[in-house]
Amino acid sequence: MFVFLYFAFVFLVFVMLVYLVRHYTFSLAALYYNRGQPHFIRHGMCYRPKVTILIPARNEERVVGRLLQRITELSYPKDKLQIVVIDDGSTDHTGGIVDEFSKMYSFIKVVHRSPKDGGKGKSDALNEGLKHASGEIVLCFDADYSPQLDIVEKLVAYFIDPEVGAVQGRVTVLNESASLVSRLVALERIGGYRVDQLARDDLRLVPQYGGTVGGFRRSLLESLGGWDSNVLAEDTDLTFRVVLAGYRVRYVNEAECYEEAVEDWRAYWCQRSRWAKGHMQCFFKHVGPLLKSGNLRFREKLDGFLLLSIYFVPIFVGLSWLLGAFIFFFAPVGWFDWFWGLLPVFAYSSVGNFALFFELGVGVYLDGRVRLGWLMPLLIVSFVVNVVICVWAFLNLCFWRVMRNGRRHFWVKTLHNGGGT
Amino acid sequence: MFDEAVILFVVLLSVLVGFVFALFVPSFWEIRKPKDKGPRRVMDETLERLGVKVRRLSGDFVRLKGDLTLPDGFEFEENVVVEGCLRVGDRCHFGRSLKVLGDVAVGCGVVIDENLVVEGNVNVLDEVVIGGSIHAGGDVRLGEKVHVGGSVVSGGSIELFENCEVVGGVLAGEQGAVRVMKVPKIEFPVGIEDVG
Repeated sequence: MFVFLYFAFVFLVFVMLVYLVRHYTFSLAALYYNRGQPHFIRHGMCYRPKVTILIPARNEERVVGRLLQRITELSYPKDKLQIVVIDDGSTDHTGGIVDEFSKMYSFIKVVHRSPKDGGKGKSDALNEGLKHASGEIVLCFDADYSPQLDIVEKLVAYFIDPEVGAVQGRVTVLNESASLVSRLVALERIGGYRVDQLARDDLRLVPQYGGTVGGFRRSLLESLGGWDSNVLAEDTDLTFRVVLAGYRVRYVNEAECYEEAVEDWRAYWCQRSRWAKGHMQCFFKHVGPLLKSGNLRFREKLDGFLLLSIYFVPIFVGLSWLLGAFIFFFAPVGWFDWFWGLLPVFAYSSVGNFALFFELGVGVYLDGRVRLGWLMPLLIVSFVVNVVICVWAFLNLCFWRVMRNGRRHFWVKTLHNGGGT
Repeated sequence: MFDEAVILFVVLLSVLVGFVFALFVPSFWEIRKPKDKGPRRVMDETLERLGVKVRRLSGDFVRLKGDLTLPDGFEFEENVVVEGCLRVGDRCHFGRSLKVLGDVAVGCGVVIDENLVVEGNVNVLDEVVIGGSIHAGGDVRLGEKVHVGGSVVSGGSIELFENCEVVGGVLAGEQGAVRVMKVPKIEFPVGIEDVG
């Protein structure tokens, strides 16, 4: 039996090493390599296609007014801008607030969905909005976001390149000082965007469309059939559908948008478990087509595979902790000494979906926010939470497949309270 | 049987008719000449004969792998991405955008309706019309009377003639420079005045 456990342990350590190399590569690329891809920001001053911004909102009365006010201040010409707010069956004053803005500004259009039709998830709401979109480019913003005033120009400029099917801007936390959780989320965001996404873009890999602060060519989106309502991580799903169709996703680090991060562990759990489940759904949906695709190079396939698998890594790490401890205490003394036993315990810092120490360290350095780096040891807490979340999400997904026979998963909405203003 | 005068008359008449007919031969020749139907759509087989690998993606996107010299007067209706270097013949037409991962040379009178994105150097010959912008990783050279509807952004230097029109501005890279060249004056032989 111990031989099997040894092999399992070696496999888990190998998985961690693969991600270790990945994070090292991204960190070094973010530090030293930024010439891999052309940057089109400078075309933003004259490239002005018609743009539609979709804003799905369900019970967002505390934040939607702030976003719409900000939208009216955007520097993009208003005659080239169409805003479609999808009031997704709200039961609070969201509908009234967006109607007020719609009366004041002719470029803001509101689509009301009844409480019966609405509330089935963000994908459904976005698909409804897409029916009303007339812009050549479709951008998406969540209701709790606050974009830079010239963000549309920056994002849209990349569509000069006919290969680009989707773009993603940078998300920064607005309410960072609200709580420990929001501070840790801010750290994760820095690592995830400033290092991970940027490096993937520079290395011509597969940057991920993050569901908000990004957009698509409308023609491409329509040819792909819009958002898939059956997948909880509709953003990751669309990323891979775009890439598999032969287009590229570009990350625009200069296009910043502020978000309201979750402020307590309960909200963190709900949000992350939805992400984990959605990502795992995407893995099962796309891993085959990805590996067989003729439109992708080997390194894109490898990066895509590692990206799709990323929410399984905390499970592997958790398993390696248990396995390492078990072998350490119960295995016969031999080649397996204390070093090997304790390796996975310390290796947590090099793996995982939150781009821990290496990437975060580089990220806070590049952003000039070294003091925020002092919080990094606390990330072990969120990492342990994520191990539990991912295990739970995986079991939930398996249970759902067996017991619910393909029925849709419930969309758990993240509550926003307008913090950080 | 016939009078000599009659014969002479017939001969002279025939010569006259022949002369008149011969006068119109070039006109008939010109009328019968095959008409120029404008740019022709490029077939995939033609491209493959030219040595490139063709992949069509989602209807309006074609990807060509390999270096390519496109003959005069060809037309693409879709976005084109060339994974190699490209030499575009005269009077070709691109209905959408063109992206080239290597260098590109664009022939005279070419029309690109949208953008030209090039990772290498760009050499655009005379009287080319580009509806959108030019983005180049390397140097850009624009010939005479080139019209660019958007901006020209280059990672290197930009050279253009003073009779070019760039609507959205010209921006060279950090190490590059923008150089505007005078249109060369045509030297006429002695005794002929330049009426232009």
